Amino acid sequence: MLNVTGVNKSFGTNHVLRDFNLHIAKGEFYSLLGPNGAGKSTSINIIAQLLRPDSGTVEVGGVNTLTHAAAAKKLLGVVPQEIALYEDLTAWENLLFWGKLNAVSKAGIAEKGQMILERFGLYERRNEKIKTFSGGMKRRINIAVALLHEPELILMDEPTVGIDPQSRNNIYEFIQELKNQGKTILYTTHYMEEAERFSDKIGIIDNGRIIETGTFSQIKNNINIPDQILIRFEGELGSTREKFMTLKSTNEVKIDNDLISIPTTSFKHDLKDIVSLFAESQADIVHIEKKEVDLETIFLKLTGKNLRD
Amino acid sequence: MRTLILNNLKLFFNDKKAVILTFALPIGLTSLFMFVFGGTSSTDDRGMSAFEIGVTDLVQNNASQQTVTNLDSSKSYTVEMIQDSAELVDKVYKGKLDGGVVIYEENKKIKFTLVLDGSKEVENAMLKPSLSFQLMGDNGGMKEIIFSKIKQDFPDLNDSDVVAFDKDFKSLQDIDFTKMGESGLKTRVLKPESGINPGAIQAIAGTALMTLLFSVAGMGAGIIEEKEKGTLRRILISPIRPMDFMFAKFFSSIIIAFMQLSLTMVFCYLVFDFPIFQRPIELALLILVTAATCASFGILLAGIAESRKQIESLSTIVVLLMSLLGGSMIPAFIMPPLMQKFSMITINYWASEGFFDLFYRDVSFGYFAIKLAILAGYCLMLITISIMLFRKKLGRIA
Repeated sequence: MLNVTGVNKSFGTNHVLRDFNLHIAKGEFYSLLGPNGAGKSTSINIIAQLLRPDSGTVEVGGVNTLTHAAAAKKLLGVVPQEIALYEDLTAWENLLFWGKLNAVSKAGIAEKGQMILERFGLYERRNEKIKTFSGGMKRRINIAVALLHEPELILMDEPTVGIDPQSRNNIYEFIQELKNQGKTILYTTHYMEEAERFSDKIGIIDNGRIIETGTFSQIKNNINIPDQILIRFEGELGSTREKFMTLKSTNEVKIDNDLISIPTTSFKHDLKDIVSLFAESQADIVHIEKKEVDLETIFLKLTGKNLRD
Repeated sequence: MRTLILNNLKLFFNDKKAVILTFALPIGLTSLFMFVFGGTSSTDDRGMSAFEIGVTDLVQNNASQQTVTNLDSSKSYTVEMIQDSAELVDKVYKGKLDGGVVIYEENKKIKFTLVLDGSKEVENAMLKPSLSFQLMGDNGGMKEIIFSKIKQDFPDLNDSDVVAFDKDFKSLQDIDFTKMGESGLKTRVLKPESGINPGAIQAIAGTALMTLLFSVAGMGAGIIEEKEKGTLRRILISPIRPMDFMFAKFFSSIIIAFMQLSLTMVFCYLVFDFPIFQRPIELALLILVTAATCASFGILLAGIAESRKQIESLSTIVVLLMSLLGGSMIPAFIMPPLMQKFSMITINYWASEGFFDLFYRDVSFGYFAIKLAILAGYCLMLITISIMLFRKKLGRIA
């Protein structure tokens, strides 16, 4: 559905995208993650045709965005990060305007608009001005107007930023429905849980290129980060502290006040060793858990930065 | 494009404060200036002054030629010699000259007719006494010429004797300079048959244009607002040509500006009996072209400015400057000659000239069309620059 091939983009001497490639199959939910300045916004803007690449090609649904811009735009629905609505118009007037702009018939807008607003629980308030809506309601309308023309590819740029948990859950449910309907979605977010929850594939972008892509499991396997055993204890470790430190190779075991963190590739085996060591010491285990590698950790390992940096 | 234009209009009319400011403010200010200038009724001797004058010398004797030489050497006037007095009258009437002097002979006496443009009231108030003194007085005028002749004929007389002699001398009755001071100078103030007060035209052309420029600047700010709120970005993502956005703003601004000027005109017709139906088609054309030129100015401001603050500051400075130079706030003739030249680069000046052509000078369509063409040229130039600026700006929206 989306093929971005060999795209380069520079702003002056700043080479923002370097041989950038991104391929999303029909019906796939793809999360594009990257630290600030990695080239994420530039790549999104090129796909949305707000920017022209210096080189390379972008195809949406097989349509080249550079040579057939208008046709490609019709296949694309963009949910922008900002609330891009007219505050002085009603929800319905906004739907009518954005729908018409995307060449949707009045009847089409009425049918689709009613359906989406009902789904979002906002149909009763359709004749109220956007400026009277809460942040969460505005976010939902912001999504609704992007879907009126039933795009083949939906580009969602942090659609849940800055809203209350209830509205976020409402949007999550809707996103799940879109995914169930087989919609192709390119998603950007700073919330790892969103990416983990919905994504069929994840792409991590840094320094202008995708540095890792695949399913979460594939990425996890590719970068080979072990899970962690976390043990909270009370009392003195005494001489067993050294034995804990040598359970794994140098610097992998960390003891911080009352918390021991030990990497593990064989949980049962390592647990047995840990319990034995505690039996030798004057300390007692308060809490023990296995922490599996999450996207945040992978992201940090790959980019050296936290996602929200 | 149609959807964008309709949406712009809907947004405008949804903003009640903007609507009130757009339509009520110009009406209020125009009315105020109408009252200040005394409504539409005509009164005499309102006078304006200026310095470019035409002279037609029908006498062509030494005295008349000396008078012309003296006028020409005065720093107060730039003299253009015109053979035909009708041509002189036409030039003054059309505003090409600030005034004129026709020197003619009647019963063997040299007489003068001052030709003044009735639309330049304040200017005439300065020009008339200045020319009267110059022509009739003892500083380069006829009096001095005759004094010189007396002193030439009677070289033994001293100045005080000449003054006394001047009062009692009877042998120069054929020149009759003493009577010339009373009746030798006639003034012809050119006014339209409708007798409309030029102040009323000044009020509409000046004030309404100034408020219109502020309105279109506000519409330009709307473009920046769309950029800041993200709706512009969303519009550019939709399947329209990027420049459609700018043209939709341009055309919707023209519609609103046209409505604003028209409403002001209708109000002045209803309240002040301003003769808007005197030449309705030409008036509609003038309003349309003025609206388009002002709209292109608003678009240009939006093309230059990067933020609302910038456009607000920029528009205040530029509109006030244009209004000042263009004669919307104070008549241009009061300014130094260089500044008067600058006034011709303003929209206000040419639109005002168009209104004066229609309501005061009642000139032919061909002559009036020159003003339309200049305004249209401005519009074309401003919108061309705007297109270039917007191409760059829209490319940076991402």
